[in-house]
Amino acid sequence: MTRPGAHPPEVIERWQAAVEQVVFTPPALREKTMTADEAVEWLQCSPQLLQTLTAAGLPVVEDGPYAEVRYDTYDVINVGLAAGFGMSTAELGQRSMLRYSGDDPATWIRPRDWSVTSVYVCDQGADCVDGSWQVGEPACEVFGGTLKSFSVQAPSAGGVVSGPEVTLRTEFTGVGSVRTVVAPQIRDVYEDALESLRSQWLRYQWLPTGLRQDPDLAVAHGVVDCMALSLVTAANLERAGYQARTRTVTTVALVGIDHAWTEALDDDGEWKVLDPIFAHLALGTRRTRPEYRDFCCGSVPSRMLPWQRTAAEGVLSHRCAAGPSSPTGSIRTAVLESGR
Amino acid sequence: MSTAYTLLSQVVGDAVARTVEPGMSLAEAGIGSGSLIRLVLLVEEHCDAALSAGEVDALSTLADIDLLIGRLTGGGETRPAKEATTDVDAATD
Repeated sequence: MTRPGAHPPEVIERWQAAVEQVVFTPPALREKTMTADEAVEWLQCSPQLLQTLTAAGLPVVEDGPYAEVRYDTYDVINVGLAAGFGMSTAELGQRSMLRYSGDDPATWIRPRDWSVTSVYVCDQGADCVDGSWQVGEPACEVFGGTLKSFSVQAPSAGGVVSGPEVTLRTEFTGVGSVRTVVAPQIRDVYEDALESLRSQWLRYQWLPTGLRQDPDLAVAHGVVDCMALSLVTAANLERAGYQARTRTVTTVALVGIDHAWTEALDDDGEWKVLDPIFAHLALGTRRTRPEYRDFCCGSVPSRMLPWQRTAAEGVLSHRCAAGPSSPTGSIRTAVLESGR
Repeated sequence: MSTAYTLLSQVVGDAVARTVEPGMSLAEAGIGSGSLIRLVLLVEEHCDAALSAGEVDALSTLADIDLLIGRLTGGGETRPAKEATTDVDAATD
């Protein structure tokens, strides 16, 4: 798959407009950077176009040992999302994650046996010193699923998972269910959250830890991701008089992604899942079935591995000499033969 | 040379593709996330069909991909991309 070396003027204009739309990472909250080559790869654009985007305002971060030109990782990803050509790495990941929304709705809840392998690496890499990990536990049974096995592969001492890298292996049966929200107030909170995204009053972007774990700050910047919006939605549910909680889940797809949603205790005594982010992202793709919008208001997909951790906690957290961090996992999933 | 191998070469280049045996897990062969997703897109393009999530779930090796391509193109029936929504399991259960 090749990247074009030259782009037509209308394409360049669309990219430049994306630079203007994106809310860039505040310098004080920057946590990850990438090289120009990596940015070209993430955006699937030409090096010349990256230069054009830089001239249009894509911030350059020069923090390498040899003052190498680098970009904030989230800025690059978010320009790709805003341009919306569908070929940037982040967009491809989202499309892969939501592919099931275009399938027969009966398959959304079909029980399946899955294997999920997640590898998390400290951003310091080999320079990680005194690294330790606080790892969550799967919570498959919360929605009727079954945990078959779970293991944490990393050096450990005195009960503390340590080192620069940890691998989590989970085998489970995912069980989905169609659940309808009974309370109009809960549905209103969901619809308000979805509308805020659809109207772009809040922009969906990938966010650094400092923004995603501080929903008030994120909203003040006009941006949210799954973690920030799940926390906002939970607060709105509580203001409406409903018990709410957030949860970290891992999506099961060709390339899995850690995700977060909100759960509300409905008038019928059942916990309902609210996932306006997935509804918003799926509604932006051509294949998505229209029923998916309602499915994200109450129902539970079987392609999710739920964790006993809140949205803000993530699947795990890491601490080393460089400080606390929440590394992004490289997640591979597979359907197990026994489940087919 | 299989179609799956040719498509993989377009994504990661010949040098990397040559290291992947037909029955080897693409993930364990070191094919990255973005490359896997782009490979699936090329399969869809080649077959002029939109794959369901269930169909993609079943693709872990080049042999799996060749099998799917054979089924979608060799059987004399190629589904138009905009109409293809059938889950592979629905067809095989």
